[in-house]
Amino acid sequence: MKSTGVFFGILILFSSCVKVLELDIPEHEPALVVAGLMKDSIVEVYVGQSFPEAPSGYNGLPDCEVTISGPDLPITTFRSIPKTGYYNVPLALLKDKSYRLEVSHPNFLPVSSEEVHVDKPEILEFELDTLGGLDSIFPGYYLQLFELSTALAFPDSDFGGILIDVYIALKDDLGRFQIIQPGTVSLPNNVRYENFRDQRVIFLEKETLKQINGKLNVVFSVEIPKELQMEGRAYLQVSTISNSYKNFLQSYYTHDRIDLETFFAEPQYLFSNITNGHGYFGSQSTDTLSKTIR
Amino acid sequence: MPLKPILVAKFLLFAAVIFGQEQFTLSGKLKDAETGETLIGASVFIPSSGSGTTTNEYGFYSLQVPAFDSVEVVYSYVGFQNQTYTFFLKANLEKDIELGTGVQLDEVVVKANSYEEQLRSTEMSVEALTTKEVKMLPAILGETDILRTIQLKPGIPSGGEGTTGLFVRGGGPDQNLIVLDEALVYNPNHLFGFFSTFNTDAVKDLKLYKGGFPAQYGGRLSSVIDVKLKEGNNKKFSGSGGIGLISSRLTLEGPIQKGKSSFIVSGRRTYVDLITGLVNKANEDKPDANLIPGYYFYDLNTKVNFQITEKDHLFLSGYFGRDKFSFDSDFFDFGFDWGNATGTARWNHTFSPRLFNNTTVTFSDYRYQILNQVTGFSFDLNSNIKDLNFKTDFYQNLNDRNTLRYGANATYHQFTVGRLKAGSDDGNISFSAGQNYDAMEYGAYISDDFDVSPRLTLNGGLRLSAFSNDGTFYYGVEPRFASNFKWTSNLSVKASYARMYQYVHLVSNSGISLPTDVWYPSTENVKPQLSDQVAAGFSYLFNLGGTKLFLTNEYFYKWLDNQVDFIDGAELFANDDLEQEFVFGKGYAYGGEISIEKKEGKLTGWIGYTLSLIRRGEFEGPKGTVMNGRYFSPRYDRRHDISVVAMYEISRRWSAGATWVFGSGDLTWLPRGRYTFQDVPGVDPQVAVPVYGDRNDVRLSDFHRLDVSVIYKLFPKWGESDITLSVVNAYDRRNAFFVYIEPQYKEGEEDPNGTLRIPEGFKAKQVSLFPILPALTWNFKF
Repeated sequence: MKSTGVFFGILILFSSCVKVLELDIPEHEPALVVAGLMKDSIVEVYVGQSFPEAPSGYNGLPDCEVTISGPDLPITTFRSIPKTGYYNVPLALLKDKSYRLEVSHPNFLPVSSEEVHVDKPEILEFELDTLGGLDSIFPGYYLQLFELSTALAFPDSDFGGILIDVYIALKDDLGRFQIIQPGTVSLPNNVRYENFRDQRVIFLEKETLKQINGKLNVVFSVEIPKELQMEGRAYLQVSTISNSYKNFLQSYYTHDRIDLETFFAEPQYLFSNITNGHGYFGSQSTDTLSKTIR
Repeated sequence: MPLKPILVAKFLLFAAVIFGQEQFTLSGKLKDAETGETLIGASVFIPSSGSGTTTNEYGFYSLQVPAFDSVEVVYSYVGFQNQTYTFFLKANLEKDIELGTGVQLDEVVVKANSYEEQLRSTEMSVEALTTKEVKMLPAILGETDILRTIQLKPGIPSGGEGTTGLFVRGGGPDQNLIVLDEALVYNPNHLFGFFSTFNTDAVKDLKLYKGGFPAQYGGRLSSVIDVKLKEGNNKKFSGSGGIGLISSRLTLEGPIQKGKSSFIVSGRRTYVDLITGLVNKANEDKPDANLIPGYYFYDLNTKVNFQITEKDHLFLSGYFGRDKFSFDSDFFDFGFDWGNATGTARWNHTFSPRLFNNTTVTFSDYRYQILNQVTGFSFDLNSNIKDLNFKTDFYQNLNDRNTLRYGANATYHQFTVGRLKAGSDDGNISFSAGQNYDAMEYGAYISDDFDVSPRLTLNGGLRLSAFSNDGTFYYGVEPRFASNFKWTSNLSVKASYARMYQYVHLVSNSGISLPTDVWYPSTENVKPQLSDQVAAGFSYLFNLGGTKLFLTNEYFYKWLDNQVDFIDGAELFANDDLEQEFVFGKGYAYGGEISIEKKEGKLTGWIGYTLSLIRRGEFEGPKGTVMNGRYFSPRYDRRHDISVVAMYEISRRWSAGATWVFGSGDLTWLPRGRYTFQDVPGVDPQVAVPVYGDRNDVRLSDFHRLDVSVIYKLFPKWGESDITLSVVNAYDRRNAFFVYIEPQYKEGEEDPNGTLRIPEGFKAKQVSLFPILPALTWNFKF
């Protein structure tokens, strides 16, 4: 980064004058960390904790009481997966209704959050074209380029944006399917979007969706082992996500991208809608469609 | 008797008194008898009536004097001997006056008139410095710096250790209008802010407005720094200069045609790079030796002026300065250079004894370039802003109570924002980014200095400003007001109000002022910044044990709107859509400033104290809000700021200076804790997420430093000379230059192979820059 260059320039230039002193960082009170997501038929929650220093090892909290409630839903307790910080409860929640999540643990302040469960999108159509193949830089692989065109319909109710996830499943010699994630997924034609999860997932703002009337092309490349047959299925997953979940993902992936520990980086304040704690409580509703590849 | 006729009669009587006596105009210029330089802000005063004026920034004065009467007029200027003339005017008279020091040049002569003028003027929230004061005070590495010295005045805290960034009354570093001979200077820094671009030898006058801005100034919210270059000695050839540890400077000036035209050339250059170059060459054959990067800066000021006719005077001046940083090795070359260039063509025309005009065309260019070359790959990043400005100002003495100023200006801005070219040498990979903007900025103003009575003076003004950029048009109406009520002969009470618009913005995500900060114009989404400031205070001249002291106490409140900041995690590097990273919000600042100044006697100086509070908030932009719109303090919210400045003339040969500054520590933003998301799909369980409090919620330790200097004067036959010893940071205080976070690893895990290591803790570390820093400089003048 340019600023880092300048930073080191100053350090080198004045290296004979520089003296480094240790400072006390203000004390941090550990608090509960929640990652909660309402999905179409299940609500999943991870509970961990924050630390004054660096977290090490597994730090999920198994002994929490996690509940969810809503206008149509009495207080319902999550089941815990033993020795983990993972909790879930199978529920088909009502769309566009607000739900309240509460988490408590004997050693921490109880935390809570409220969020509206978003309505589902619909994949109206979906076409897949192969654009060509190249030898990969990885031995035993070739690089296949695809273009996917789709038309989507979205609920009228409020949501933060959509996530677009594509992947393919190809048959091996034994007829078993192997799921292959794409490398980079992108949108041509100057459509404004963001990439999440190592460039594999596309995020589009609600406003952008309106501008393109739900019609878009997705280009993605896949590294395919040469022994696999070019036969299988391509999957398109489109999810509406709530505003809080969108805010969290945007802040998280920005944080992931920037160099946090240098002086010149503008720090990323991670979004949180958890009262008395950290993390998020969001909603995601998904439609999936697949096509045969031959 | 009905009330209305009484009022009419009173008005007529008043008018008769004012307008009944015939008057003529006494006008001309005040000059330094030794060099012929015009004197700015010199006093022209009629003791019998208590009326008077000051010379404008071009040395011109115009005064109404009773006709057919013997009138005594006193001309005075700080550091010069008063001159008194008796006039008996039968017609308008143009009279240029030359003031001399009348004593040895190295002695400071200050008459009470400078206090008188401050007590009489409507100007408030103004700080001025003479180069004499600057040269007596200690300087970092012996390099005197007028911009750094002005920061010792109350209400102008600096950006901290080693920077010349100015944060005036809660304003940001981009909210200062800095003009050098009327040309805009975008980056007034050398060496990342350690020195300013103003060479003290070439500077004639520096004036800094913190509030109560006169209507002729616009375009920035928080301060105006007006720097005037010397015109050059039009009586005899002379020179001055200095040789220091890191730099040398030389100024030559003299007449082209005696009394009619003159020139001045002033340059300086640092030479650390010559020394580091020799060290690198000596180490060429040593494989373990580390190369030292090369760095130098230089600047050159030139000016010529021609008295074309009695009524016409032409000035041409220019500034060119560059900083160059380079690091060259077998596999990695890095070059970074930046600098300003300005040019000014100015024409003064006296239409009549009452009407004076200054017309100026200026050019300014600020650019930086970063060149980076590693084996097989290179990149070139540059940014640039160019201005071409036309400006005309009229100064009209309407009558003995009203002085009008009016004028207009138009500026063409050309912005190149973050032009990046990167690619491999074989051409297989290439990348480019950057944006260009062309914009126009306009201003027109009128103001009146109105002497309502011998005790009450008002200044009212109005400025209209406008900005157009790619079909987007903004305009602003900027009222200005200042008043002075002279309660007694040594106490005056002042108040002012000023509205300012700012149409260009500085893009910077760093804690210090960097040359890579980019200027960005107002666009459809980026609205102009706006501020309203009210200030009130008093000035009091009093005697303490036979010593005259001047007390100034002011209070201010400033409202700020459309402030530009960055969203959390803003990515500014090679970003073609910077506006997505902006957030826009509001702010306010308030505080009080007090100073006591002593200008007479062997011991001179001042003590200043500022108490202030700065807040920003309600930030929102395309990507969201900052802290959900809550208010926070910017990094430069310095609650307390104290400066003590003393200069002492010990003997004819010896003098000494000392400054002590104290400031509340700067604010910063450090993570307090961390957490990870585990068992969460799509989220890397290894990534430790930092937990931050509110923005800038950690205050660093207080800043304080003592600098001292001793000057020993020599009196050679060929002129003047002195040896100056400066000691910066005399008691070795380690002030924070910046703070960073360093991961801590388990003992014995310092793996040179670079395998993945998970930190077990973090430590905040403070980098301090200046230890005790002595410097010796030899200065000369012939």
